[in-house]
Amino acid sequence: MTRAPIKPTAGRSPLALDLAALWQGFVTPSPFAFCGMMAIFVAVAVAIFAGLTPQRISGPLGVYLPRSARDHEAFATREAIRLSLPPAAGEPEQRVYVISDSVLAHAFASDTRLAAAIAAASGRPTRVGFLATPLQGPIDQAALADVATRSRPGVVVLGLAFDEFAVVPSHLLELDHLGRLGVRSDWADADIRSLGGTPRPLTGNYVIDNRNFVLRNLRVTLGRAALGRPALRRIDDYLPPPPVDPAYAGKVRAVMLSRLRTLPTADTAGVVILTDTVHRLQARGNRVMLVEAPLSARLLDDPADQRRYATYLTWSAALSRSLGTGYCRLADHYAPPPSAFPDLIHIVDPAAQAQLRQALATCITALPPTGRPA
Amino acid sequence: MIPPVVAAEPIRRWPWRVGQICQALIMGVLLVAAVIGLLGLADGAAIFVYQGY
Repeated sequence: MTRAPIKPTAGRSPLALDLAALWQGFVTPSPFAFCGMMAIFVAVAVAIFAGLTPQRISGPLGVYLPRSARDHEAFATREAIRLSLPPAAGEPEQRVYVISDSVLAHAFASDTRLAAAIAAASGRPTRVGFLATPLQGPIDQAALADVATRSRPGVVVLGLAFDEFAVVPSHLLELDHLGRLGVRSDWADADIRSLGGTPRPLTGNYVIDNRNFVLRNLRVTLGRAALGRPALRRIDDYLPPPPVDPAYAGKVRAVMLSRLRTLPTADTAGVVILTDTVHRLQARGNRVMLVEAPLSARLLDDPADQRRYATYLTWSAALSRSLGTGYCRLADHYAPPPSAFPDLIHIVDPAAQAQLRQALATCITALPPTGRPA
Repeated sequence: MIPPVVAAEPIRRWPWRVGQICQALIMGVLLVAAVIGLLGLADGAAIFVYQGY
């Protein structure tokens, strides 16, 4: 190792000499600096492994977890973990959990405004736990429902959609292995086994058990925490910036209509998992409501597709009755105009969103105390 | 005139040590960031396949 030559000291102040030495120490590799670097690396790694816990995610530092306003998985993760802990003092007694994909997220748009609508309709202050995530499947629903309802039962709104039931088991397992959510659940693991898959191993350490989720978020989370700049949630922010590309809308249309051709049955994997989740929720004292989101009339402009969709709705209402859940078809209360759906399935019109929040509030208010329709 | 030769003063020990500690601190944090970044990039690339229809 060679050190840079030290300049003559004549005429230099002690402060200048100290600064020069500080700089020399800073830029000079040495066994001491290397060992220090490794020690810091190990210390930070241990701090992350031991320090990133559900309790911390639910606390003030958890606001830095989402990477952006559109990181819906991280927002749902934090919300589910917060709901799983004992309720804070003064929290409203009534809870409504909305567990759905992007379609209901766009339909309701805001957790606070939805809570206000339900409170106004039911006369009871309400805490809404909004747990919407993109391409949410039945395994995600099971995991979020399990975690969120651990501390207090409430009304669980589960989004229903024919396109979700068309997803094949191998794709469901693939999605689960991505580890998109940062929560683990025995319910979801049992569902994975029922599909012939193997759940990711559980160790009890949050970082290890949710490895993919943590790795995906940690870089930005640490950066946001260092700068003190949390991402602000936008619940109805799934669409590309307007105007929506006709090619994108066409792709959505093609996917939806192809999935409408395979209507679910009692043996469909998604139905089996949904049934299991509903039974578990009811056993925990929750009232469950299955909600069908409205679709654009432009999507179902073919009479054959309209007939298929009507058949599906008849089936989903019968499924709800057999499960003993509430059933709410939002379009029965309010059918948004086609202009409210830029891509045929997501609603962006604030007036339509307000109407749909009101429709859900009406459905929830009509739900009997047992959760089972009369 | 030949200038007098001034011997280099032995390096001042504690500022040099502080510099070494700063170096270790920054390099250690950068090493953590690099590892997280590499692992996160590899994992993050996969998930975008499923973002949207």
